[in-house]
Amino acid sequence: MWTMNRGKTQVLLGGLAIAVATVGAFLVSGCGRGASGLRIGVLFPMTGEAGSYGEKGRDAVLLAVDEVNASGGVHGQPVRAFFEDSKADPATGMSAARKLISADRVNAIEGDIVSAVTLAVAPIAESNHVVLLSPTSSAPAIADAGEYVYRIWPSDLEEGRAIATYAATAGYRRAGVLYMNNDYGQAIAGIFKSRFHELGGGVVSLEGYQGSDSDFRPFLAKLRSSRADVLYIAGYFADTATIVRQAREVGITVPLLGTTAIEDPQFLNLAGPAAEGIVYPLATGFDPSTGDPVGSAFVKAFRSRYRREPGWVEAHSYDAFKLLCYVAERSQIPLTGEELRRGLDNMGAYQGVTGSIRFDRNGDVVKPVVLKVVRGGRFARLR
Amino acid sequence: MLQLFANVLITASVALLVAVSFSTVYWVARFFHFALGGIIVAGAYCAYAVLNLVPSSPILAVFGAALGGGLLGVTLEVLVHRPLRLRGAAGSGFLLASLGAYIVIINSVSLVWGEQVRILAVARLSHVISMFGVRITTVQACEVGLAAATAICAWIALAGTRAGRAFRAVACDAVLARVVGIDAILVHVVALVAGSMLAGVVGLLVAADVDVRPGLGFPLLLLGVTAALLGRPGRVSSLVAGAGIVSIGQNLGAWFFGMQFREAITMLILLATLYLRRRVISAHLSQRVAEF
Repeated sequence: MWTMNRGKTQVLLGGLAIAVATVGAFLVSGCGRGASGLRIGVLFPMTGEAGSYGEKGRDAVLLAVDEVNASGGVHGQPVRAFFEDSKADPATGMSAARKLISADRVNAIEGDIVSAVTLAVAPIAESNHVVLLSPTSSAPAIADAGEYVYRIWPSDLEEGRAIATYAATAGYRRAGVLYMNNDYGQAIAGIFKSRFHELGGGVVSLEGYQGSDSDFRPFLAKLRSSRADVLYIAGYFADTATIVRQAREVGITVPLLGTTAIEDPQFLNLAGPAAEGIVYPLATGFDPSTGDPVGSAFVKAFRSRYRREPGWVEAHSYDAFKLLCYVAERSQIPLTGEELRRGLDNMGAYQGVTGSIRFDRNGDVVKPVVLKVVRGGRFARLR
Repeated sequence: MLQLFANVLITASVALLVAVSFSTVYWVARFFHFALGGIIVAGAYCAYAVLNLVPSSPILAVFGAALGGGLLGVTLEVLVHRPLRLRGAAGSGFLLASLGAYIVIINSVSLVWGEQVRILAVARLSHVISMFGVRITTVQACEVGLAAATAICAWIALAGTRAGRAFRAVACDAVLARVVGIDAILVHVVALVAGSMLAGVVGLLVAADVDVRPGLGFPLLLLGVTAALLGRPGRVSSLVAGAGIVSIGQNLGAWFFGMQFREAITMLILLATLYLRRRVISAHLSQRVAEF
């Protein structure tokens, strides 16, 4: 009898301890969304195939946090960033988003860098009335992802059409296309193919690759026999650099076309001389070569802190975070999702390091597309 | 078509090198050494670190990769495999521990060097050799050359030297090998170190050919394990054949079905091998993990 009672007592005490700990955790973390101090969740792929992009974005966000707090924070309170790793995987991103919303009680989420994760997280942001601002997601479907979903990177439609139009007007008629087998690569390759076909061209070789692939020679060997007169690579900078190097190694001499994503100093380092002459569209507005004061100040601060040049990931991650702080500063407290959403819809034009940002009714930005080329080991405007 | 043949030869060379590294542990210690994928990555990053200190020194990079791979192999033996062996763990325990070790190694590499893709300085020294319409780089030629040399040396060693006979004896039955006076512990350690050093060098070569990234190891491991399981324990010629079959499957599959199916094709070959050779594989693994 005594043993049974002791057992029951232990169970009761254990349950009480768990209940106290749970309530305590909620109380501690619950000093969040309704209370003062802007809390921004940052959902980036810190590990995995897209981990290098997440690391770059994180560096830029940390710079933005320090700058905002050094100038007084938001509504006089320091802003806090809560980092979570999506691993560029939708399921992981969804779990991380739920944690940011329910446990960290963030006012808004910046992320993801990868379109697939943004699309997966959008319904969660919608149902919880939390603003989701993506720095770099470009899938066309994001335009219809919800009222609380915004992005400062233009849709693939703009970029894909621009590069296809260039290819057609430059006289190419038989394109080989190699695309990364994810939402980004598939979407942009499809847009290129469609637009190129409209303008009289044809895609003679179309193949996808996984993000983990590093040997593209089987495709490149096939491309040689297809007599393509141009090769369009719809991928990110690291894989495009590898493809470009291997293409030149196997003797492919046709002109190369790339995506906005290749404008990163790491691309030039990885691709080396093989990158010479590759043409790509710049659809994002971050162009250090123009010398604009806002962009130049960012580049200088970033270089001083990290001893390297920032690329498009860093610029957009920085802008997205600063934009959220800018809107929050002009919004009423408490900083609810509804308040921030209203702020983003009505803010007019925000001058960031990636150019002028103004959202349309779908939460998209429209930016002019310029064509650039790698010339003399540097990114330059195509004339 | 000749270029396709060259691609098959290059892939087969890499597969053979990984298969030999894997088999030196698999044949003797009787478990799937998944951590080999991590050793390959560690070798690549050791070479990267050496080249950052002494650029344009390929020989030092090779030493760095081999030393890094060997040291990591010994560390795993001391910290992971030997304690399990002393506790009489079953093969499944070794498999899980090896998988855990692989994850720890990859995450450690990511923590130290980050996820960014990097390029080895020696990659810039590589140039293209063009012959009869076939183009390969000097690094790829080294891969083919090393694979050929490894296969020949391994065959000679196993067939014609005392050390080779001792290795085959321990691979066949470690307990009986000890009874006839063979130092099974020494054989095991030498096999482990040699396999790990070779894996480190493979990491360097592939990184010099492509790039350096934390995820470098697993696709290579998949390639090498499939080639190794296609072969028969103790026979180098069967490893060569296995590497050839896997390489042909991958390259022809990529040619006809597309590059995105390459790893899936390798996985299919692996599954087919595990099914068709299940008796050979389970007979080899069912003998108790060697007691040293």
